[in-house]
Amino acid sequence: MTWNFDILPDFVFNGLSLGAIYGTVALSLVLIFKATTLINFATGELAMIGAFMVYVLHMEQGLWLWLSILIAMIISAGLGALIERTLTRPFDPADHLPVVLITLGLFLIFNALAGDIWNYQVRILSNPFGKFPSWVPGLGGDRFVMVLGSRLKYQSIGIWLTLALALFLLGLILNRTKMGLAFRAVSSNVESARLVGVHTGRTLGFGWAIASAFGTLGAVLVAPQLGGVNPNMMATILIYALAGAALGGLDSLGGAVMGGVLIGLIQAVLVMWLGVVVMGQAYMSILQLAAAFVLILIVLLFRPSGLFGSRRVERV
Amino acid sequence: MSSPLVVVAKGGAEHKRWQYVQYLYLAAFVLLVPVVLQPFEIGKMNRALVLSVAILAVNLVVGFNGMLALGHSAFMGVGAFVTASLVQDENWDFWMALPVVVLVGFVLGILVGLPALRVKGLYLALITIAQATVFPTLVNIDELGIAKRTGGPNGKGVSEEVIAPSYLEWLPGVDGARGGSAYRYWCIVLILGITLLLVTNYIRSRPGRAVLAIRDNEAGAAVYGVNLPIVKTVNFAISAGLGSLAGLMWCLDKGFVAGQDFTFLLAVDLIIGLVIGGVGTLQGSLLGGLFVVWVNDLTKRISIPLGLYTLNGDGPLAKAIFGLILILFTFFAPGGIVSLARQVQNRLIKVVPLRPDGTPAEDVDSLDPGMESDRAQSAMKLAIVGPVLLIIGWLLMNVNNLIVGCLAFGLRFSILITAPVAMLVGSNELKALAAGKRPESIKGQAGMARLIGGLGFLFVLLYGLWLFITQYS
Repeated sequence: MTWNFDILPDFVFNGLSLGAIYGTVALSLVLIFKATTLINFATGELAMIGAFMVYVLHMEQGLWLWLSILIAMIISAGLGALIERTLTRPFDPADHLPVVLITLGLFLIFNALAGDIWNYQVRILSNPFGKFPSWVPGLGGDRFVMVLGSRLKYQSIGIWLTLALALFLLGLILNRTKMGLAFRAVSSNVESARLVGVHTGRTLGFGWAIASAFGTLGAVLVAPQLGGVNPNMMATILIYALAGAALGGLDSLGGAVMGGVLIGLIQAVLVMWLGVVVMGQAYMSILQLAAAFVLILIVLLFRPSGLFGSRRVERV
Repeated sequence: MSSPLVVVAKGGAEHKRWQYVQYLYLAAFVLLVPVVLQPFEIGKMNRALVLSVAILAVNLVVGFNGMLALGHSAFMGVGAFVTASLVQDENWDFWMALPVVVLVGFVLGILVGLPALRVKGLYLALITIAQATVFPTLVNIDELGIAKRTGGPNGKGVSEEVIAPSYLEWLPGVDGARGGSAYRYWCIVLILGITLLLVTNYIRSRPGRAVLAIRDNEAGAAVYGVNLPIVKTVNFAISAGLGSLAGLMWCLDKGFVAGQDFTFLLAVDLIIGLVIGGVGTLQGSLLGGLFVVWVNDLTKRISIPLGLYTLNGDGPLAKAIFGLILILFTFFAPGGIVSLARQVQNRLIKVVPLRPDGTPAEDVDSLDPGMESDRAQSAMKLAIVGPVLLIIGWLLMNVNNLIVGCLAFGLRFSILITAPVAMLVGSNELKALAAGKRPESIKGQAGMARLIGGLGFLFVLLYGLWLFITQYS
């Protein structure tokens, strides 16, 4: 065993940026779960469609990247609200099976449609955080900055800043707007919210819209790490995000982000650094997904509602 | 025509007759598949029946216990790889491997189920999805001898051929050109039949009823003394063992296993089959397996003429159509094909269940419309419609179009239902006439219905027999 501490920061930075992406997608899952106690299994595919929208707008139509991302986020928000209104609202949220089936059906349809339109090849999507912009003193044009003897990529910094900004905006929406207040009311108690005059359906649609927009943001951020966009890009990301959401507690927004970051750190530090680099076991890299799976099992065994989730008490 | 054509008490003579017809059809189906179909079609049927066992396993958890399990592809994979390893590396017989494989699945089910079932609702779905996604990656680990056993990314072939022993060569289809797949078909049918019998008995047993009680009201079941964690975990483990058995059958059928065969998409296929067949019914699991395989095949075949993107003949269109069908069924027929078939049957033959003391739960006579009945007329129309559809179907068969071909196929099979129903209604009306409950004027119509229906049914039976005899030798 060789304790290679000098390259540890590399793995920490990588884990934190991966974790931020998982956190973004986990947030998308939790926003829907909080309001409806449902897991949207089509989250990943919706986000993938969003990333392809950015691909079409930016790479094919030549729009400014950030404008394309904004447009894609708005369109996927609309798509999310549309799905909520047409496909999930007719069902009783207490009965999980129908809505899970609907989201599984959407998962298949979106994946197949993307496959039909864009094939399964990886298509390059330009990196929103490739090089430091020219106004950053001393770093303009560089891809990374040296911190603790390791390369801290501009991409990582950009992902963190974007997530922080998105969280700030989400907090603003949830705490300072009437719609946000209604969303919090519905997610704490649907019946009471309905009784005091909150339009629950519209509020749930709003939750789906924000969640889908967040998913798209996550997919765009993760694309450069995967080499580009392709219809299956979100398959494993969704599993990590699910693990993050379960770890943090499915009904806690802060927990989702924390859980996602923790999963990223465990993946990078525990599995890749400790397992592969320190212990020299190359096969450990295959176990990244399995580690997330084992982690979910352990967390659920000892804290069934996750690290930050609230316990649900049931009346009979 | 809102009232059913015949109302029969469950277990009565008429109900038994209707059941005999159903058993006869089932037996004919099982016997005719290996002698009539082409070898590659028998292969598809084998695959469908293997999936049926896997769907049955999912059904135990999702349908009968009301929990969401989406990861049975992993249990299938474990079963398939353990089988392949035992048969190929250790020179075991498939039948010797069977109990070991089921046991391995059972133990694995307990390991996954214990933590997963402690939590409620969607958490089990979440864990099982992770399990399904993780499994294909685990196969490739080249440490601990795993990759050597599983063949890693290349998959593992089983070189031992499944050939009928000489004392079984009388089985239909086995000794001819389609010998290999026909014998595998009989092995699969045997395992499937025994599994169905065991699962039926399990569901009707005390633990099985506890499983159903948990589905219907968890808190109520606990109050009545059902040990929730034990019953749930054991049920999940039995289901995992069955899934593992399906894996063994997969290996038996294909002779080759690879990690890519057991991805999350297979688990989704199982769920689709379950929902479209009918959640919580045993017949639904069988229909679901058939549906998944044949519809997948059909959509693949229409992908190519439509010029859609395909990869190794497996286009994404099949998945899109499956997704669409899944959503449509969830909206409009949540009970699946089984509930649709029951609705149709209830319009023709209503079976009144019995009370515990043996009397019908509803008065059968009061459901009889009496003198103004037009049942005889409807039965006569039904008796005539059957042969007409048969002839139309036969004529349409020559049109070389996939959609028309499917339609023709369906039309030709409609006589299987119309003929015996018309016969049954006709004789029932004649009996009512003899009892003075019908006007004399229906005599001709009822007689015609019985005659034409009877002839049609006789034709179906003779045709089946002729097919079997000419193809058997």
